[in-house]
Amino acid sequence: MEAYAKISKVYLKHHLKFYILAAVLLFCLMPFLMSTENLSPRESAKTLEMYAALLGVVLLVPIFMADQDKDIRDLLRSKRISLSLVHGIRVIESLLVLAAAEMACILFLKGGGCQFPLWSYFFGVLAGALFLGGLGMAIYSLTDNVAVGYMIPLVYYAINFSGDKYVKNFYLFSMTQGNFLPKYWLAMVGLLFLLFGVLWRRVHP
Amino acid sequence: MFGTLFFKECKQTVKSLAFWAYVACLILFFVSQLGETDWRIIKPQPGHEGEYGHTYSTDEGLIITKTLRRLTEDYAQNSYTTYPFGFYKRVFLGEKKKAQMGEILAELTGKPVEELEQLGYDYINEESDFYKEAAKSGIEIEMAEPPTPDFEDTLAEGVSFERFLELMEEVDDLLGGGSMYAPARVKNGVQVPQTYEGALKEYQDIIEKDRYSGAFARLFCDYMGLMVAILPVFPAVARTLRDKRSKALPALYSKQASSACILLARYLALLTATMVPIVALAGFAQIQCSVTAGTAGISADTFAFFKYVGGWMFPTATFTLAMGLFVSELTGSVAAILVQGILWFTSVFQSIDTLIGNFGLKLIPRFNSLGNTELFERELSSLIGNRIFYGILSLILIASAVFVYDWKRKGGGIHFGSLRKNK
Amino acid sequence: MEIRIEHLDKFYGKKQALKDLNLTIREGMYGLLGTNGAGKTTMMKVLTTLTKKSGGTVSVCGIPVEQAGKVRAMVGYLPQDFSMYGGMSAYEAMDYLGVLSGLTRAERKTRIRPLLERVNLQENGKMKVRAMSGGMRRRLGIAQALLHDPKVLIVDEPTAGLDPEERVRFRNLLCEVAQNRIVILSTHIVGDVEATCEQIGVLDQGELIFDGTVEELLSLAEGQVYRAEISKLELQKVQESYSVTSILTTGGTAQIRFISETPPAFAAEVCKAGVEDAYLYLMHAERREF
Repeated sequence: MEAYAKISKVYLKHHLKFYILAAVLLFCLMPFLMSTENLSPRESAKTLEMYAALLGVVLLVPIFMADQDKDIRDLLRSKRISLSLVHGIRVIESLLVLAAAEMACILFLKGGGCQFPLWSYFFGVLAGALFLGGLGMAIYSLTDNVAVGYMIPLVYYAINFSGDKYVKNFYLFSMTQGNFLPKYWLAMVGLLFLLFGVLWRRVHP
Repeated sequence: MFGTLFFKECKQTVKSLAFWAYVACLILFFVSQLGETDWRIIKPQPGHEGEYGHTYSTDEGLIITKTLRRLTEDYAQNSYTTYPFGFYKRVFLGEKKKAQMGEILAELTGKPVEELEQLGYDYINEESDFYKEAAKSGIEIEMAEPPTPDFEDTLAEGVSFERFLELMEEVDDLLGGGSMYAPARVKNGVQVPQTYEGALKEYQDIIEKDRYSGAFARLFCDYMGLMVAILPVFPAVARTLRDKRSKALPALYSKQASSACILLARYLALLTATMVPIVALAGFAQIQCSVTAGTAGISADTFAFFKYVGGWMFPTATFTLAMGLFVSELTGSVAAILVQGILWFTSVFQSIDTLIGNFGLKLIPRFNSLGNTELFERELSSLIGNRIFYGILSLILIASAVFVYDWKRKGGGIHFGSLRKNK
Repeated sequence: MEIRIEHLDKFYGKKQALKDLNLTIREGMYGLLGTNGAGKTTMMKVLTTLTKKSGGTVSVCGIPVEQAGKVRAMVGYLPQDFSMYGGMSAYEAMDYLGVLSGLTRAERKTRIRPLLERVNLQENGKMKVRAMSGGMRRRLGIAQALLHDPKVLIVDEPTAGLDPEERVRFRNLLCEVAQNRIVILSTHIVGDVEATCEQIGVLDQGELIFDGTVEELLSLAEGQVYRAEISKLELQKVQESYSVTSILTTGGTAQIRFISETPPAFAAEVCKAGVEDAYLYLMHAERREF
């Protein structure tokens, strides 16, 4: 247990803190870019789905950045504790931070007098973030190229602007239309992406 | 030396994964947004009133009616859309300002404030009749949306258009400026259904002024501009980081070539690699467009797409790439993606409610409409100004990137926020 | 305690990096010689379970490399370019890598300081990894590899890029730690091996062309190394027909050492072979370049 704590502490201190910083920056920009006060349920959904969900990309995609350097990667892999376990710990840690960040956004909206069901919206925005972040992280794992890992989720996000015609059950902005079904798909597949990312990295280091 | 370096950079770019991911994303986006475009433009036939789409009217009576309806709705919901500094923002009024707004509305409509307030009460209060009804039918209260209020709204007697504009000025002030009620905006006209004559005029404009393909080219730039404002940053970042990752920097820094030469060759190579797929897609669309026009017996402008791509999208690409190179040179990290991501997001949301025109200084000019030639021509000069602005910014950014490169080469650098000279 | 390699094959796509390798390595220092790209790093990566072998069996102290976890617990590895997150201090890096080696907090606390002392970094515990010189980094690397007291230490090209003084110190350090351990040292610098290793293996293009003691290697070239003094003008001609291992020119003459399986056509005397001569003899014999 102490080992797990140490691993997550080192990730936090040397890497995650930069991504948290970026997330904080985006959080602070939220009231300037989106409406955040006295919103109806649908308007709140818009702010959350179109903006807050992007925090998933910021926090989840760069999981493997710490050992992008092949020499460091080899060194870590030669140790008894498998690197996949280290990656798993980082994923869980990043997910906790992501959940906290989304909750901060939710509470910010609530504080601004917005009307919406707190927990279902929390789950909804987390599902979208999980999908976008998981997609990018899996692509990063697959290509070993972080730039491509950021690129694909952003394009996916942009494609969603024109509605759910192509994306169907993976529509990112469904809450804005009062539909929660896609959120279950997004969350499930998002988690699978994360799992795939870690496993692929294990097989193709 | 520059030429050779340029070709070598091109080769490197074409071999990189980030470039092919860029091409794949472009094609994916093109297919999803424009893949099913109907390249035909049907000449409007008389007798289909209500089916000609929309246009903008500057009729004073219409402006007043439409504006009042909108204002009453907004007042009832106590929710107003504004664009301070060009950003989308929703404004809600406190008690005092709401009362002031009620007074203005009462003066304009000649209806008592109480009646207007009942509307607002219905809209937001969960104790209201509407929500009681909703609760009865089992709808979750937070998901229910009351219908927008609807009542005859004409200007109260004795209020002139000038007075109306004055009051709109007050409304705009109450909302903190940048609202839809600002007199300058109100005077621009309101959306009304197009008439046959209007539709025919628009059709003729497309055929004569746009020579058919110009109208489609605008749509192409409108959609693809979204991608060109963000995607090129990825190859740029990947390219910069590759030098760092492969630990090639000391070897590169020590070579004879000037920083300007190295970076410009890289920049131009990336720019070429960015534009070639765009031009290819534009060519693909141009062919479809020209052929369709030809079938209808119209001779289309063969170069319209290329002209628009060159004038409209090229500056976006130069800016995005320059920003990507500059920030990643400066920080030696992927921060450029975050920076450009924020700019992109800002620009996208600046125009999310006005997809046509209003170019201002937006990085991504939107004109999400087929035709509307007259409006476009009216705003063309502002578009040109906008594009020149980003062209100049690109030059400044790339010069800064060269400066940073040269500075790092001489031992400078940034480490976790603190500047460092000669380690 | 031994490493046993039988019929080891490794392919990268179609390219065969290791060809039917058979080798047993016992306690002490084992030097692995070979040109760049001979397959040394690949072999070490197989032993450290970083790369899967394509065929054959490999076991470390009786445990097959397929059981990566168990093998990793026994093996300490210092890669060619040791580096760690640049923002970490030496102590932090040791601590973190200790965690990954499965050490408890108490074990780490008691081991890190003495190890840093042993590699002469006791003053640099707080120094950031990115600020360290090549030699310091290499020493930190050896310290981290020893952290979990491994039975096997695998060191890839440890002295490349070190200054002569650092190099000697590093060799001595390796000799010290080789007590009661298997230390495998790969290098393309013959001097490193000559000074420290009893057992030597030579890899060439994925094949093991020699496995034995230093004496055995020397005896291979015995009687085939010559010394001669020739005129500078002849030098080029001699170099074309013989494999010359060293040249020392003074004035108009050149003193040369060269290898020849038959007595040369000019005046030359047989001399005692050094490890370098023997190594070069071996490489040339393998490639039939006489």
